[in-house]
Formats: sequence, structure tokens, C-alpha cells
Amino acid sequence: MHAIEAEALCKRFGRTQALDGLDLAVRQGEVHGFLGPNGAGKSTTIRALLGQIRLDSGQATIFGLNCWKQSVQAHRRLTYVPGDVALWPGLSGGSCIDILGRLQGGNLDPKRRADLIERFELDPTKRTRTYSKGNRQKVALVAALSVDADLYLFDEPTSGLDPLMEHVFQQCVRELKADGRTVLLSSHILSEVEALCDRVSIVRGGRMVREGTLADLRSHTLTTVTAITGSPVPRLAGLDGVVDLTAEQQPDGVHTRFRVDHTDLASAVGQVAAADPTALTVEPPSLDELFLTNFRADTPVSQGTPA
Amino acid sequence: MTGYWRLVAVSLRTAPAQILGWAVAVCALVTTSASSISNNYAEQAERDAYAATYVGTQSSAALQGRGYNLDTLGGILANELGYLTLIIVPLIGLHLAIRFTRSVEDTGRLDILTAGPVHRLAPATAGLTAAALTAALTSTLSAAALITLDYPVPGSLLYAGGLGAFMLVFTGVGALVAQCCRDARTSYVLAIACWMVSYLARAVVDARGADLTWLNPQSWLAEIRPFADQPPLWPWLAMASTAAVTFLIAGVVAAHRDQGAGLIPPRPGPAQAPSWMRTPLRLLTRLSLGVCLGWVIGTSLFAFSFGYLTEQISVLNALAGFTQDDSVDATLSLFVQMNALLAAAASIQLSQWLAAEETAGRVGYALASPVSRRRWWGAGTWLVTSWSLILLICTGVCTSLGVAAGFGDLGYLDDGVAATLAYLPAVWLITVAAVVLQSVTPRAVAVAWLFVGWGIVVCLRADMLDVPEWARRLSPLYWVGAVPRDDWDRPAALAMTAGALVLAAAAVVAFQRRDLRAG
Repeated sequence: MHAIEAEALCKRFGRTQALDGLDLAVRQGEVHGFLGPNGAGKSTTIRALLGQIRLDSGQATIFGLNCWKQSVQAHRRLTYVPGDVALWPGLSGGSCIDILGRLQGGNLDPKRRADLIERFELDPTKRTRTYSKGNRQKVALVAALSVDADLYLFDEPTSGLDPLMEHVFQQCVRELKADGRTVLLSSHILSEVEALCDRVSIVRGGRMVREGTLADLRSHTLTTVTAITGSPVPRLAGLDGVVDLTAEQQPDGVHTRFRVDHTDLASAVGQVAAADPTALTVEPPSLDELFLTNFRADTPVSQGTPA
Repeated sequence: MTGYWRLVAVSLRTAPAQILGWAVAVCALVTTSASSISNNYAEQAERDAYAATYVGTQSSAALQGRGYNLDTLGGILANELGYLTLIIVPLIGLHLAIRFTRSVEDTGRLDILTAGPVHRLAPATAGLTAAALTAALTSTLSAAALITLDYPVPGSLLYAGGLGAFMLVFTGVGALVAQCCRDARTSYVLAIACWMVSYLARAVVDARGADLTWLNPQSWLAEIRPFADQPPLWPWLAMASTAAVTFLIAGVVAAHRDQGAGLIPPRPGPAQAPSWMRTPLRLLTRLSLGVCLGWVIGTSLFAFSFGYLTEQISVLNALAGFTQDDSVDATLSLFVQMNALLAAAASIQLSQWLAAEETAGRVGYALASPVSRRRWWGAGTWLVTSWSLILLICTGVCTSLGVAAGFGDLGYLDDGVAATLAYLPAVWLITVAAVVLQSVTPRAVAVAWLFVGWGIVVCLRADMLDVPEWARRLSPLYWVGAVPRDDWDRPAALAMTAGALVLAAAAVVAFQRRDLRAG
């Protein structure tokens, strides 16, 4: 049984199709990155998982519990950090942490609470109205991390945090992972995702466009090859996986440049090697490029996938 | 002042309904009253009769202020409208001043606006210009309406202008309060407290006939005497200078304080929540406690003051030939309905606060815990209905204490409580209507104010405005009957209670089935 299983989620708000057949599967014990451009449907998916919105169609479960009908049972096993933390004005940050913990059922472990407040350098006596965005985020993080849950839903949890606090957060997630907890981490910060996540899902336009380990995703994007050879490299254009091929005659030889998918990489580089290159570089796709390829709305969903 | 005109344009574009709506509402009130008074008092003999009886049965000077030139149509109009203008005109002024200054700042929109090339005082000045525009529109529309209805032109201009000036005085008070308080909510509480103090002070001065009208802006509206042969100038000077001074002080405060801050810096709170705060009901109770206590104090003061004035009124009524018991019952049935309307207003305001909790995302956040929607909703409904009951009891007790203190006779102690509680089913029905609206969508709660607004009209003005029977029946209070003067309508009370229960159950179902607005 997966921690989260969502199939063909659809939700329309007026004229906007927020979710358009989105699938998501999060295995127990993994840290799952949830990525996508603004407005892709990440927060809507999390709100559907929390039973805050009623799906037009599709099925979402958390530990096998229906997210809409059995939301209370599901909530016993999870805790949540919203992307835009709204705290009760007039109360202190410490009070908010306690209240959120008590609504979860039972008091928070005082040692864990104190420890987290210290690690996140939070002043719990300040009124919530006087907190900055980062400090509100810290209150929500301390409240969520103080709870002993099986599943942690984080919706852009580190927006507004400074790099030091971001580091503290990453440590906390690693501890959760070591403890066998499941984490769904919605984020824009690629380094954070790369550092923490076992697997990632990329959504765009309310649909899942890519899902797998980072190594998997890398293998679906194109490697850039540049070479300088004495004479033009033959038969490159005939290879299926080669795109963006350019060849220019310059004083030091023919400059060839192309991009190729990973299945045709070996044969393409073989052709170049046979042409006796004086220089040859093979650049793997950077993570940024990976996301740019998948995020850009005008790139068709199938691009970069082997034919 | 750099950026002033651009910011005025922003205010006008973000809230045209507020600016225009309130002016139109006041104008509609003036128009309907003016036309019905022209019909009812068409002959000079009728007007003379009105003036003669009014001197004898000044049963409501406390509620409607002093009347002048009661043998003219305009004088009757100004006097009869005093019931509502003394309440709504100042409240509109206070509301708009806060709405266009502190509320904008509270939501953080001001931070974006002031990042542009704008003068430090431009946002507040522009916001108050928008608020003042409503006062100007109120005057213009009302003057046009009165002149169209063939009221004398100078008097119409003076009366309509007086309404605008009166609103402007309270816009100034609201501006000052909004600059001093750190958030919109505190501003509203303080502003309403200011209005209440001045309203009650005027009520005492007018009921006792004391010569202290220069003291209080609430008295100045009547003191304009727009339809007199030689209207005095001093109320105008008083209103103009009060408005100028409050605007000036507000400007000084605005120029010297930090953006987003008030005059008093926030105090640190406890590092931990008190141990009793652990269920949704207790959390909501704690969060609403300040505002609810404000309502209790305000309405109790109101109830006591009017209860106390009952003796004065019955002395005046005795001159007109009423027996003391009849007079007390007639007066009480008016005052206890005011108690009920205040309790209903409080519960609608609480419902609006609960709805705002949802749109702010806090309900969704709290409900990510294993707390069911039904439990959260039940806590909210329980809170609102409980407070309306508490308010009815408190105001009922205070009305009784006031009556007993006024007469120096403890025999009157139980009258007010029983009569006020007779309206409990009606108050609960209005309360549950707000709850049902919220269960459909949080934005709809404001519609419930129509019940209170119409309730005031039916309670105070139905006869004067010739409101037809079916329209009176739109106010739940009317179904109960005018207790204690009339008998309590038991079947109606029972039906309303049952209706409230059914609606409350329907609201739970509706809330469980819809999307949360944010979170």
C-alpha cells in the first residue's frame, strides 16, 4: 500500500481546469519531490489530499483511506505545512504551535518542541501579527515537525527561510527519512529537491508529466556533444536520437555540435570518435535544464522522451 | 502631494460599491420617509396636531433626538428620521474612514502602494477623500431628492448638507482611531465605542432636556434646525472645526508613526498556550472573547441607559393621558426589540468573523488535523448562538435594572428580562440564517445584515412609512409580537425555533459537502 495514491484527479474552479487527470504515487518511507511551475496544480493536489476540496472525478487515498470520505482518519496519520501560513492574529507563536499540536490529538512532546524552537531560532513569545513570512513559516514547521506522524505534507515549506534555516529544515527531513517516515515535498528549490528526494513527480497544467528518480529523469533529457574534427562527421544526421545538429567549417577544423538522447548516445559518440576528433566534450543535462525542459509550457509533453 | 490623485483613483476603483452604496442607502431612506411624510401631513392642521402631540408624548426623544419646527414638513422629517440617522450616518462615516485607511494597511496592500513614488501622507489623505466623497454624495443625492419632493429649497439644502457634515465629523473620528490602532479590528471596536458613548450621552441630554447640546456632535445634527426661519450657524462651525481638528491630528499621527504600526507597540505573549485551550470550541471562544466582551459591555450600557430613561418617558406620556403601566409596556416593547436587534447584529458579526477565518486559510489549516468539519462547524454554531443568548440575558437584565433604577422600584426587575428573552427564537433564526449563508459560501454572510436593517425599519418606522403587512412579516421580530405590550406569539416562537434547528442541521450538511475556500 502506498502512502499516497492519486488517480486521474480532476478539479475545475470556474473556467480554470486546476487538475486535469493528475496521477501521483508516493511510496511509504520515501521523500517524494513534487515539482512544477506556478499554477501547475501542486497546492490544489495537496488540498485535495487533505479533503479540503471535493474532486470532480478521480480517486485519492492516503494509506488506503479515502481523502474525502475518511479525511479525519487520514489526518490522524499526517501533518501539514501550508505554503502560505496563516496564523491566528493576537496569539503568540508558541500558542499557535501548541494549539496545532493539540488539535492533532494530545500534547506535543515538550522536549522535541523546545529542541525545534531552538534549532529554528524562533521567538515563541512574539505575536503572530508581528512575524515576518519566514518566521510564520518557522512556526508552521515547528508545529508540524513536533508531531509524530507517518506522513508529512510540505507545501513549499522553505519559502521565506534564510539559507541557514533551509539547512536546518533539510536536516530535519533527513531525520524523518532515517526514521522511516514518508514526506511529500512540494518545492521550487532544485538544490533542496536534489539533496532530499528519492523520487520526484513533475506536474504541469494539472497533469503529471514526469515521475521517477532523478537519475531516471536525467536519462530522459538530452546530452550535448561538441567535437572538432578534420573532416565532417558522416551519417550523424541519419541517427534517430540526434537533434539540433550544426557543423561549421572553421580554421582549426569542423566544429560539430548536437544533442542526443541517452539510447543513441553511444552510437553517436562512436561516429564522432571514428572521425578522429581533436577535441570532444560530452555534457550531461544539468538539473536546471531538466526542469526547464519539463516546466516550459510551450514544450510538448513528449519532447525529450525516446521515440 | 505626490501620488495623491493616483491613490484616490485606486480607492475609487477598488470600492465603488462602498462609496456609492452607502450614499444611495441614506438617500433612499430620506426619500421614502420624505414622500410618506408629505402624504401623511399634507394639511397644516395635521402638522399642527403632530407638533402638539409631540410636545406631550415625547416618548422617544432619547431615540430620535430633539425635534424643531414640528409644524413644518421638513421639521417632521428631520425629527422622524432622527431614529435612524443618529445611528447609521455616524457608523457609515466611521466604517469608511477605517475601510479606506487601516484596513488597506492591515492587508498589506499599502506596502506595495507606498513602494512607488508617493508622499507619506498620500495614502491616508486619498483614502479619506474617498470616504468624504460618500458624505458629499449623500448630501447631493438627498438634497436633490428633497427638492424634487417639493420640500423648501433652503431647508432641503441645509438638512442634506447637515447629514453630510455629520457623516464627515465621524469620518474624522474614524480616521483618528484608525491611525492610532494597530489593526482594523481594534479600530472598529474603538470607533463603535466612541459612537456609543456619544449616542448615549446625547440620549440622556435629550431625554432630560438638559442645556448641553453644544457638548456632543450627536446633538448637532438636530441643532442645525434646517427648516427654521433663521437657522443657527454655530452647529456648522462646530462640525467643521471638529472634522478639521480630527483630520489634522490623524495626519500628524500618520506622519510620525511607522507603517503597519499603531501608537502602542505590541506586547510579547506567552511562549505556550494555556492548557485549557485544546478544542476547536475553546480556541474559537478565546479568539472571539475580546470582541464578544465588547459587545456585552456596549449593549448592556445601551440597555441600561434606555431602561433608565423609561421613567422620564412615562412622566411625559402621563401628561398625554397614558397610564404608567401602559406607558412602560409600550416603551419597553420598543427597547427590548432594540436589545434583540443588537444581539442579532452581534451574532452576524461573529459569523462574518468565522467566515473570515476560513477565507484567511486558518480553518483549512486547523482542519488538516483529525478534527472533522462537523465538529468545527458545530463549535462555530454553538459559539454564535450561545453569545446571542448571553447578550439577550445581559441586555434584558440591564434594561430591567435601568427601569427599576429610574423608577426606584424593584417591582420592575423581571419585566425586561422576560420581554427580551421572548425574542430569543427570532434572534436565533437570524443567527442561523447567517450560519446557513456561511455554509454555502463565506462571502454571503453579509446578506444576513438585511434582516437586522429591515428589523430596525419595521421596529421603529413601520407605521410612519406605511409598510404593508407582508413586508413587516419579513422581519422575524415582527412574528413574535410587540412584547410586553402584546402577548407573546407562542406558535410563532415555536415555529421559529424549529425552523432554526432545521436550518442549522442543513448548514452542517452543506458545509461538509463544499470546498473550503482557502487553506
